[in-house]
Amino acid sequence: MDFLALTLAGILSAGAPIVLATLGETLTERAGVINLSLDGTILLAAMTGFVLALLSGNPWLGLLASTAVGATSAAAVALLGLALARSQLAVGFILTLLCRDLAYFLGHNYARQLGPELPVWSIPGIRDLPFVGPALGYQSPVVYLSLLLTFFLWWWLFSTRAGLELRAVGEQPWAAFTRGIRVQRLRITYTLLGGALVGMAGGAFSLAVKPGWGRPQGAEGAGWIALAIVIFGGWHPLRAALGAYLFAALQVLGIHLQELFPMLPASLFQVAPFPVMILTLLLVNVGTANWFRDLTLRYPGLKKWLNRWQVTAPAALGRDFRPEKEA
Amino acid sequence: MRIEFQDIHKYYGRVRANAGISLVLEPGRIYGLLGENGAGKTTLMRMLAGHTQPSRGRILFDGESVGRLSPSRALGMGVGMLYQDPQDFPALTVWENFRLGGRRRDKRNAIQRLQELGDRFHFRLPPEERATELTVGERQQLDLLRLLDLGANVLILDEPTTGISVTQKETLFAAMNQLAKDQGRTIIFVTHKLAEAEELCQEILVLRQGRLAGQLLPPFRSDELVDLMFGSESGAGGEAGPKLQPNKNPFLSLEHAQLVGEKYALSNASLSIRPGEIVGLAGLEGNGQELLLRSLAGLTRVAKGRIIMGGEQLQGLPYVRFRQAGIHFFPAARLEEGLFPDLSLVEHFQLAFPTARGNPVERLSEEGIRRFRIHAQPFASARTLSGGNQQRLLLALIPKQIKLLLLEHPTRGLDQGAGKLVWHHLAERCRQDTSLIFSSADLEEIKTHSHRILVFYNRRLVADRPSQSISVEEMGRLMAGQATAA
Repeated sequence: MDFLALTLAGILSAGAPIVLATLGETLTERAGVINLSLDGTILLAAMTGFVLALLSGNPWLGLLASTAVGATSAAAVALLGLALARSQLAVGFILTLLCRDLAYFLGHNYARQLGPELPVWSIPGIRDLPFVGPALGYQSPVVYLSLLLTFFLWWWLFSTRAGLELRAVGEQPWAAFTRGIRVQRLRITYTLLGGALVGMAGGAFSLAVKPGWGRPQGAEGAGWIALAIVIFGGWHPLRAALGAYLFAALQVLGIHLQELFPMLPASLFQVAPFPVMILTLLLVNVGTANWFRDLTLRYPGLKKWLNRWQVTAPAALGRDFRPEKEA
Repeated sequence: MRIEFQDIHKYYGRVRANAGISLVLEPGRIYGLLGENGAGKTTLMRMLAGHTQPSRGRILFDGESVGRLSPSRALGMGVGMLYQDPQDFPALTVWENFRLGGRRRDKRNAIQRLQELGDRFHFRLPPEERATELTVGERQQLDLLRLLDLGANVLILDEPTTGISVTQKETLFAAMNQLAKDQGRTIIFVTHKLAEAEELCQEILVLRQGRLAGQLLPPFRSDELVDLMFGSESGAGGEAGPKLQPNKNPFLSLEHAQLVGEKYALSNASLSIRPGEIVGLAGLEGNGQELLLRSLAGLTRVAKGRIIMGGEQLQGLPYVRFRQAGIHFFPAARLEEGLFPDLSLVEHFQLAFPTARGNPVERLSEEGIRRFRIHAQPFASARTLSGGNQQRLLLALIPKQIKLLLLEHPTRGLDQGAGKLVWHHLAERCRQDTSLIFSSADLEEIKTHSHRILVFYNRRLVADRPSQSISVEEMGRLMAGQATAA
């Protein structure tokens, strides 16, 4: 494999768990619910997945367990934040800390052990393609899953009736309610589904991308970055995936640059992706700046471009919905 | 379908919204449901549409009880409700809005059906546009078509003529007549506008304080309706404000300004205001009048041009400087922008007049409760007040010495009595040489109270005339872009 193919393979692999977590949170937030527990949930799911795979010898069982952990953590958000109408933000924060500590505590005895990993799949046809073949053709199943899910969710959100209802619930829950849509039920469903994807991201870390368990595992911080990428991605699966791969690319690039510039401190390259991500966010949201608005008045063509890129959060994000209270 | 309300009661906590309402609605008729704000009209209709349940009593469909109504159940029975603020999804496209919660259709099918139904009532709705791009009237038309597509036999229209143009109103009324007479549907027209109810309805039901105060058949008599709605103490019609004193020089001017708002910009606006002048702004929502008000208040940006007041340039300065210059802004969204919903009346007074001496409770009783007739306890929170009381509280909080008062829809959502009180206070301000600029959807209100009228269309100022030289009809035409300004 040549250098570029290797880099591309690295990006796809490193990006897979972030894509999964980002997609999960996008789904949840589209329904108008914020699940802030991503970072802790990913760790707890990573630990559970790894330990179960180790004990059973079956990495697939581990991945399934991770997914279940993610859904369970989301269930706590659904129960406290939706059913009992407590602050979703507060519940999410506490859950993050709880899940993280729980992961380190329960996983202590299994740290630094060699365990099973998900196999690498080689896809006939794709692996023989020129140039991209080596990068795309030999990958972990979670990589293929993250790619498929990206396009599936895109189609689901924007081309199906269920997707339309999902967006409606996150935009104007009251209007959705008057049209006979069961707002609370949909919100709970998508919170659980989104959480399941986040959990799967944890499994993708400990069973494929950064195999094994330890403190640190290497997945730390991924949840927070995923939360930022959801915003960067404008709550759109394709753009969210793009953001996740951009972040992965920055990380992979950091490793390469570190080899090229050995005199610079290594920590610089580890930290660099984060500020670069913030700069990207600024660039994406340039449309709200006054000087840019004046430009659009002078050049109406810009406005069209802007409309395509302008992102707005689901209008009812994080807000509680009680039909009786709206009276 | 015949609908029967049997002894309906509804309580929200300790507040009684409906008290023992019984009535029967026959198919093929247009009913007017009349009452002042807070009379219980919307609550009663929401129970019929399944959005909330009666505390006591039941609703029968063709003589049968269907048990607990939910929105989907009510829709299944053929009851559809159209809200005052269209209940739609601004971020979604027109056809997506049409399909949501409706029959299973693919995109082509949905667009086709939308156009088919639209043609029947002369509604023209661009299917691929986002709903934010539509006017309130168009969004309402969209919602109406959606309900018809669902097969609604009983249509509830809650204050449907607020915020729509004269032409759109005529189209809507024609559609309502067609639906009732030709298709035998029941229509319930909820309103507090007497003239519209008299024009359209075959029967008028009047609610007062949660009870059915009267059930009338044509010919309707306005004074009788007013009596039933408000009790006998109030009269209809508004008084004009004080005369404009001549030969006073303008103190404020706007010169070739480009005003930039959230969604659009208003270019090349020029205007000058004299002391004590009342200027009414007419225009459909989103055509520039709100931008003018907010720019003069220092709340939105002036990209080009100047605002000059007393020789000082104000554009680009922070809002506080506008306030110091004697400009006060009076928002339409009372609870969202004007008041602190959870603070009490006393706390509002303390915030508004931080240097006032003496006991704030006494001051409040003196100022607010006696002079402005706010009917509330000093420690009640603003959230719990009625719309009229909230408006009077806002009026009472305006500082004594101001030069310019900018008002967005000063009487929106208020009943006649409360509206008259608002104008009574505003006229008094005017006599003290405060100038007023106000926007309103009610052209009669603009005509009655203004010295000068500005009309907006298509995000431009299209007319600036003395009020005696422009009629309500002409304003309506200018707002709809049907005539050019003289």
